[in-house]
Amino acid sequence: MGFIVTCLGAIALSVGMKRHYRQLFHSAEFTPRKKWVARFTGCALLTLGAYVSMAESGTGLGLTLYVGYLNVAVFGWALFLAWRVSRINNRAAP
Amino acid sequence: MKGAFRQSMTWLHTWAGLVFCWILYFMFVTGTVGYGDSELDRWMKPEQPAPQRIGMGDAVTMAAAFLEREAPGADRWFITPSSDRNEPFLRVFWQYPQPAEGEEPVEPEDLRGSAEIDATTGDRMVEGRDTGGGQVLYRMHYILHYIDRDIAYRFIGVVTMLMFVGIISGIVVHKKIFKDFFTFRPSKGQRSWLDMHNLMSVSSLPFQLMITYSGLIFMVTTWMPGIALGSYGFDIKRAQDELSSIAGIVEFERSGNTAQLTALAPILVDAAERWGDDAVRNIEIRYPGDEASQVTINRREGIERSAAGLIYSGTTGEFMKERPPIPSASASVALTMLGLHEGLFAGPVLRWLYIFSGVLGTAMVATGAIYWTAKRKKTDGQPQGRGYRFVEALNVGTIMGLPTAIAAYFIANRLLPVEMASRADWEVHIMFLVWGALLLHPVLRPIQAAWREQAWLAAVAFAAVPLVNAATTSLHLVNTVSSGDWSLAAIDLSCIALAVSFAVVAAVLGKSPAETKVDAKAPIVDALDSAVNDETPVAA
Amino acid sequence: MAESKPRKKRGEIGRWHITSRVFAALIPAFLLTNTFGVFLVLLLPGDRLGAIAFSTLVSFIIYCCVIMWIFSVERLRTVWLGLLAGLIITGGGAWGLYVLENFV
Repeated sequence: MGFIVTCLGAIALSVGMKRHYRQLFHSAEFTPRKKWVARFTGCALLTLGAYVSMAESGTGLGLTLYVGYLNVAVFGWALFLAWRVSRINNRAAP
Repeated sequence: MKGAFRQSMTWLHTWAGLVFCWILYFMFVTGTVGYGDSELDRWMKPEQPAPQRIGMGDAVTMAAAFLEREAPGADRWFITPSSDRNEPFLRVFWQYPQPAEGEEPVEPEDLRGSAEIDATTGDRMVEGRDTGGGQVLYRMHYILHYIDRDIAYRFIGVVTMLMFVGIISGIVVHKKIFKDFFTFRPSKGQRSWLDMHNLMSVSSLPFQLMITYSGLIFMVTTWMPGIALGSYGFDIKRAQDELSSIAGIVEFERSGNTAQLTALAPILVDAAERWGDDAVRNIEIRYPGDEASQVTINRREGIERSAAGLIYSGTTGEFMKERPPIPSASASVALTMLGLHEGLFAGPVLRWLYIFSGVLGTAMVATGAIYWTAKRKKTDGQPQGRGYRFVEALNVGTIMGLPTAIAAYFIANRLLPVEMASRADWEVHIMFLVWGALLLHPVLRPIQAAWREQAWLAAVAFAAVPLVNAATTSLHLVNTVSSGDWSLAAIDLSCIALAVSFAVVAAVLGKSPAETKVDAKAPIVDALDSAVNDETPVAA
Repeated sequence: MAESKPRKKRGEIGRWHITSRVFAALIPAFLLTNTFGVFLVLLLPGDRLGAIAFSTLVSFIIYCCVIMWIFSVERLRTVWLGLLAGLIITGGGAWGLYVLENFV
């Protein structure tokens, strides 16, 4: 559970950044409102992820796990985004 | 001014990182492997039975009987009952007193002994093949090999300090730490290496900071004794006395009168009442068979390495006193750091997360080293300098060669004849011979070819590990998976995963000139990027 | 770090500067870390063992900062004078406090 919440948090946070927003929904418009909603949700979910992890496995162990989750989530999501960009490019290329 | 500061920090980051980066890579690889040391021990000793769980009371009684037989009159006995992955079997350790003045001196190694006890027989575990196991590989993480331990340990301290400087200056240098948080732009040559380096470092930054800083804390007594000694005016005797009082250890002497050692099982029942079940790490018996003997129950470590203990009389079994855990807040921070570094408390999920972070750390060092060369590559057709060639060759031979050498270590464990003399040493010799050869290889070959060939070689070597395992033992994947022995299966499966990864790398390297090919399609992303870097919103 | 500007400036300063700074980072900076650590222990009130543990823990961070400072200062003279001043102040301070505590 903690892992899933942390992943969602990382995803939401990246949606709040223009470059990644465009990689995901490259045709839609990026408004300041969307940006702040996404960033706020991302931060909230990341905080929640820490709490959920700690509730699941105790404070010390939970925090340690959470840092590991964060690591996997951010790295995995960045690779996914990179893959997505290469697909967009391939489709666009003649 | 700010620009100049960043520039100087870039310089510092580059050179602090590069100068020993191959040792650092070696440390990261062996340290990451070390998170599976106990599993590797089991993998490399296929003759041993599966882990044995027996009741704490039975275990100590069995161990005491064994020690009575094998080590009477010792100064200390240590009994570690089997528990989790760290202790698959009941284990004992004993130590004899130093010979008195005037008697013939004895080598320190001859005063100590240890054994693993088979719970089914109550006697020593079958020895099986002579192997260094996962422990030898893991110990290279902090004392290297073939070099004097103390020198190697000190040297590792220096490398760790450079890593620390590298991390801190790296954070200072990184301009867009948040903006580039999720950014990886592949197939863009030098830019991609930097992106990858940043992505790996930033996403695993808490781990890297923790592991490096706690690595330094291990070095406190080696490199920073000056502060403690200086505070006592370099009066070493006084400093020692005061510092050993932290540990709450009170030294005492033998009485000289023999007395029967009390039954240990009731003591464990009492300890369980005080601490709850599963809280005991090991049992230490001071002067067994003497009237003054004492039994200490040491508490199992959580994240923090705790020093709490319960002390009982060794003749009556009565509770005497509690040894409290470390009092000072700073000391307990230090112990928590050490505990986090070793991760002995980690269950399977956290253990994999540790390994994942370790792999990212490894790759962080590797991408940093490759970026160094990618950035300095001369594009005008001029020949590269000698230093550049040196770095390039070391990069190939270490980044690709070391994993292959470790695969060779595993294969040697299976293929060297079981009755061979000093077999355990030869496992390691083979590992370093392979590595040495692979360091030489890129000197003799064009660099792109060397990368490709070594990546293929690594893929083949790791693919061979589970195959050789299946051919020589019954602990192959079919058996381990069907019997649910996932800690052994995980090793074979990891080797397969590594083989696939290296094969993918090799295939990508084979598709040269990949950069130019993809660059032709890149403008859309470039447009995207420039649109993003431009702060004005762009309508789609 | 993101840019690949050639660092001409440093190249011109030359090898002597770098050797001198590396040496400063290896020995005087390490000494300074120790004298500072002892000074800190003797300054901190309360439990001596706790102070030693704290000061030793912090020492690696201090050392790192000193190294970064050494490589960020433009003039070599500033580096050496700074290190010397630091050594005199912290070393002298530590010595003074030790004497005060033990012999006065």
